[in-house]
Amino acid sequence: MIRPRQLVAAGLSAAVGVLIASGARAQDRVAGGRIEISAGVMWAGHSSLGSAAATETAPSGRFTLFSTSTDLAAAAGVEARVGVKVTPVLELEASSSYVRPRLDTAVSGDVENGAAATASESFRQFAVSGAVLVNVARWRIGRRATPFALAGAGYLRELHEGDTLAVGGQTYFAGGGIKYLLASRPHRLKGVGVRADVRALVRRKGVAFDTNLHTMPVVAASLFVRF
Amino acid sequence: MSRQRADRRRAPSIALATALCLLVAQSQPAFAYLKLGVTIDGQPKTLKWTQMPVQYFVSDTGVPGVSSSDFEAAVGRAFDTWQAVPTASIAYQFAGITTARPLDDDGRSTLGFLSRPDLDRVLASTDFLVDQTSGALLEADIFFNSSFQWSVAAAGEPGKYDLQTIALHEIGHLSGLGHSAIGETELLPDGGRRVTAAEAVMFPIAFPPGTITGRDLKADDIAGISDLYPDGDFSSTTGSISGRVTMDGQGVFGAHVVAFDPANGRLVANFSLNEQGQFSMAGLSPGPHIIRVEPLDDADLDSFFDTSLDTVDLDFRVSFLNRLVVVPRGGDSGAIEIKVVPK
Repeated sequence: MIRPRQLVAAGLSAAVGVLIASGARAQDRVAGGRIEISAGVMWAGHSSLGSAAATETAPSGRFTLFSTSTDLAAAAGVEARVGVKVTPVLELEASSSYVRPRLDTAVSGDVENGAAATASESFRQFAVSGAVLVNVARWRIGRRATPFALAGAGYLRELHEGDTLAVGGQTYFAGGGIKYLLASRPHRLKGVGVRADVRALVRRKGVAFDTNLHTMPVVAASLFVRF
Repeated sequence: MSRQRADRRRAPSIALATALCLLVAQSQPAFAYLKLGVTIDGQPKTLKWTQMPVQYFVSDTGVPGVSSSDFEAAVGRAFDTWQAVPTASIAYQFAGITTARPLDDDGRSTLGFLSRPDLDRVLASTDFLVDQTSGALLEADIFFNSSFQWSVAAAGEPGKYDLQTIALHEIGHLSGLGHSAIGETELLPDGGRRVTAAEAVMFPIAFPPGTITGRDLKADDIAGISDLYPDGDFSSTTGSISGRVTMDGQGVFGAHVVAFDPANGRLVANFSLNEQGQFSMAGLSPGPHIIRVEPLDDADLDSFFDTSLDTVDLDFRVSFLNRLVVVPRGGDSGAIEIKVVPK
């Protein structure tokens, strides 16, 4: 005999079970597949890399010969990544990117009235990074689009102009984006979609003349496939 | 063998140097700053010591406020400063007190005071005895002009020149270094110059009396002594920049080329040393550098060049190269061309 209280409890349990199963199916429809490989383009925004002055020793203090201010110009590049779904919500990603930015050092305030000038060099930047990505299913848009948040860290390898000198640096980033599933199927290739994300990236060292942290925006778009 | 006067450290208000023959290898670019040299059988030879340690003697005479032992201690600290450069192999050894005087041709490098009131704007001077077949230094004497007031006080003394500071400069010459032009001066009404700033111990004009800011070597000095006497991993951990300074397609002689590393603030410089305008700077830290070119107008030309032989180009504006020049580790930047425009 089933008492009313037990009936209520069983009903609640069943309802929760249905809700969980329903949520899992919804997740599967959006995210289906455990491994995701993507490739696309990225754009890294401008970043100020600080200033430095050429100074000489004076009888009392320093004497400025001229001043410099260095910027990392915005540049476009390519990016590829591999993600592994750990849970329906959580993914781990490894990515690499290549960009060819320009370093601009503006020179001004020359003590002997040398004309202001900008000294530049182009360099090659390779980066590898790891990130944790969280799919935010509750903010899902329709049945195909899932927002996500991500955060990670990486290593920079930058080659100065002519590949004459290599320097290393670190990156840290956080941001978010959206994945849109274009097609899904219950086969080996479980889905194809597009992804867009925006990150705030903090970089340290590399071609920068100082060891401070410098922030820049990064926007990326890519095509992904799931297995 | 021949004796050559290579330098005189000048008091701030010098109008014009008296006889001074800073010899520079002018037919080919020298590496970094000016290295002293002689021309033997038409070939430039860099003056340097071939046997280590370089032994030196100290004269037994003092001046008011500076005893012979004070003098020995002060110049000893200056020798130690040069010897402590980790990327240079030069070593010095105090050989004793002597009754001999500087400028005696006795085969002994002697430092001491001489009274030279006739040289009223020369604080100190270094003279060399050179092997005319190899360019090797055999003897180098430094005299400090006792017509000036000297101090060995730790914090300096108003109105007196710091012996250690001036000795540091002269020992740079004794080691084979010429003058650096990394410094700024103002012209005085009497035609002399007052130093407002310098970033090289080897700048030819001293700071005013009472100043002790010149007791430490700067990047340009360290690059110079390391280039002359490289030691350890100097060659593999530093790099060089070379190229030409041109104006209207022609080489510029005597242009002062300064390399600035924004990563560490170091300034290292040299001159374009031939009619093609070629220059080269070694001992630079790896990484991008800002290149600035200026006419040699902050000291008398004969502090750097034999103006009886060469005409130094001064009629051009201060310019910056519009690219960052990357110094590779253990290599050269590759030839660059810096175009300047007339004033």
